[in-house]
Amino acid sequence: MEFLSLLGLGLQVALNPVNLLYCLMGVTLGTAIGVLPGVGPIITIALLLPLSFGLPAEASIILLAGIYYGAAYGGSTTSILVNLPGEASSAVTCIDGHQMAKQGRAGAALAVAALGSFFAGTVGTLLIALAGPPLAAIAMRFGAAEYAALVFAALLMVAAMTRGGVVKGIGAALLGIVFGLVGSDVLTGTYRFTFEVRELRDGIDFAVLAVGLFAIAEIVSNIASQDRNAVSTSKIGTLWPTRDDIRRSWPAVLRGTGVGALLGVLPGAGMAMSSFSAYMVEKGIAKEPQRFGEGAIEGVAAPEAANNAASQTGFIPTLLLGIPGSPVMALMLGAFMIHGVQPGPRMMTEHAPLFWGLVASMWIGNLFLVILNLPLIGLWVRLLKVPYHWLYVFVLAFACVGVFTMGSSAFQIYALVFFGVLGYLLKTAGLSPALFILGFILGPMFEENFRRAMSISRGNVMIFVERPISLVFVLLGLAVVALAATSFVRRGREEVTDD
Amino acid sequence: MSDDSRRRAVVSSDMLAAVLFLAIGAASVLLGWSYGLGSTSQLGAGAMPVIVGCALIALGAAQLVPALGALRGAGTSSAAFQRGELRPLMLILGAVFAFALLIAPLGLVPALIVQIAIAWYAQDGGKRWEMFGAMAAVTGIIILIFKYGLGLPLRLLPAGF
Repeated sequence: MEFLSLLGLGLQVALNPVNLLYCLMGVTLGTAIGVLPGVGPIITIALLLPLSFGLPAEASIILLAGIYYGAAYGGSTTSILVNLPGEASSAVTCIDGHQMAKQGRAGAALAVAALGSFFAGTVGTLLIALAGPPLAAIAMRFGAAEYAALVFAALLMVAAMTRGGVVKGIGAALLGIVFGLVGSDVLTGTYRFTFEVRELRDGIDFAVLAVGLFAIAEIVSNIASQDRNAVSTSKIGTLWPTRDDIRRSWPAVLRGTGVGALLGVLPGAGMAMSSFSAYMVEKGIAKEPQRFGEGAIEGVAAPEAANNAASQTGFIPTLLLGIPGSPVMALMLGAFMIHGVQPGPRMMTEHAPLFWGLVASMWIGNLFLVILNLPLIGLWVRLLKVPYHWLYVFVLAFACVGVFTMGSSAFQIYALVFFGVLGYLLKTAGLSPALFILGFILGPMFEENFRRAMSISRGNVMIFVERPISLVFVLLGLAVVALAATSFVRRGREEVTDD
Repeated sequence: MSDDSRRRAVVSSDMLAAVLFLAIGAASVLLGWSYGLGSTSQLGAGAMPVIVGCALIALGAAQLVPALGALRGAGTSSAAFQRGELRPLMLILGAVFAFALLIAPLGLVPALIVQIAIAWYAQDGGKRWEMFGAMAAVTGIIILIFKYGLGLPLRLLPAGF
């Protein structure tokens, strides 16, 4: 039962009062931004990256993780009460959740969402703890060729699932890779793309890039597309689900957890797709599918469980392979690297307190979320009344000061302006900044392993198809792209016409 | 946006993507070449930039053909740049730029006040008096978080105050 003793070690770290406080702060902030439309986990984590320099590794990772899964929770509140998904992952909860609210059963919907999420979060956390050791043992045997092929497959999978088509997806990732190459080459020490600027020798600062790409560009497009509809909130009603609700929802929660846990691991699928898939599954197997859309409790329970399970299992590839499957996970990976921790199969042994502390804190965080969400719902809903022009002014100030404090030089802030422009251009060109970030993070990893594999094989490219695991990854990546490319032609046409 | 302007958009978003791919791809190939390609068994610092750059150029070309076709009227395409975004973009970037200029010589408080004064006009939602409230509130919260909460050494006011 080594597993239990490790989990015990994790609990010890997570229950340390300082870490507990950061966990609470993380989930509170996460819930708040989950409720607020226009401020999501990506922006928030990007904004807090500069601050995490000053914190111990455990505290800052626990804080950032709390924001991430807290936002998945908070998003459901606004979906149900005001038919306004705070996060994309909760969009599907609107369908039946808001119908329930209109029927005066918002309380029951919220309670089922919270309890279902808690259950799913618990299962997700356990899965990380259980899948960790065996998966790390497999990954430990990966050589350079396998790693290069894995990164290749992961990038292609995410690119294929991005809206806007596979060409733009791959292109965005490649652009990110180019920017990731800036700085001195690890193997030869040559300065690449530094243009004689001393500040660029260590590469582009990840936090500056993330803030510029996500916060600045996001504010601009939010301001331009603000529709200031008066928000009307439904009454919450009693929080107690009826016996019938419970009978209907627990199997839905179980199925949703399964769907979410599975899709969360896949690069590119993520929380939004898992909640959507879980909803479709429920509708597909329901005896009376016509109830869906009219306030079926399963339509709330399953997707909410799914997105929370996915938010937890998304950590599996990130922590154990060092391969983030989504932009938020790329930011988390960046946060680890800021603290000099390289996630990967060795992380569980080399940074055991950090790994298990994070796992345990996620379970505690999920418990906090139930406590925070249910009794305090009225308070969260009031956040919706914060006007956007107060919010963006604050976000902007926070971004600038945070970035400035990293180096105490104005250079970083000029860089912020640059990446703000770049982020805007990417968005305007329909290129996903999320894929850009993934390319930025994974590019150097790919390069190092690719070059190493090539020198192991004495310059023979066949190494990537001769080794079985590597071959599987390469084929997987190509298959996903081929699949996406065929449907891309169709999708591309649709997008032009209904845009 | 009218139907007409949509069809004849000079810079469609597909076109912009193609231009970005081609420009950055070409730069990556040209600069990468000078870093040395090495040999296949000992790839040099320039190998990866050249490979990625070539891939970008290929994608750019693939993206450019339909985009040009759309320009000639063979299909529809949506304009990349929207008028409504220009003002917020310039004002938000201007606000960040002003902060960068002022933070070192003048300190945190003046830099934040100027930043907020510029950024406020990016959206025409807020009233003038509200702006002063936002300045006080945001500056106060930022000082509390960064200076007192995190204990970072930030100079608040110009030297001499």
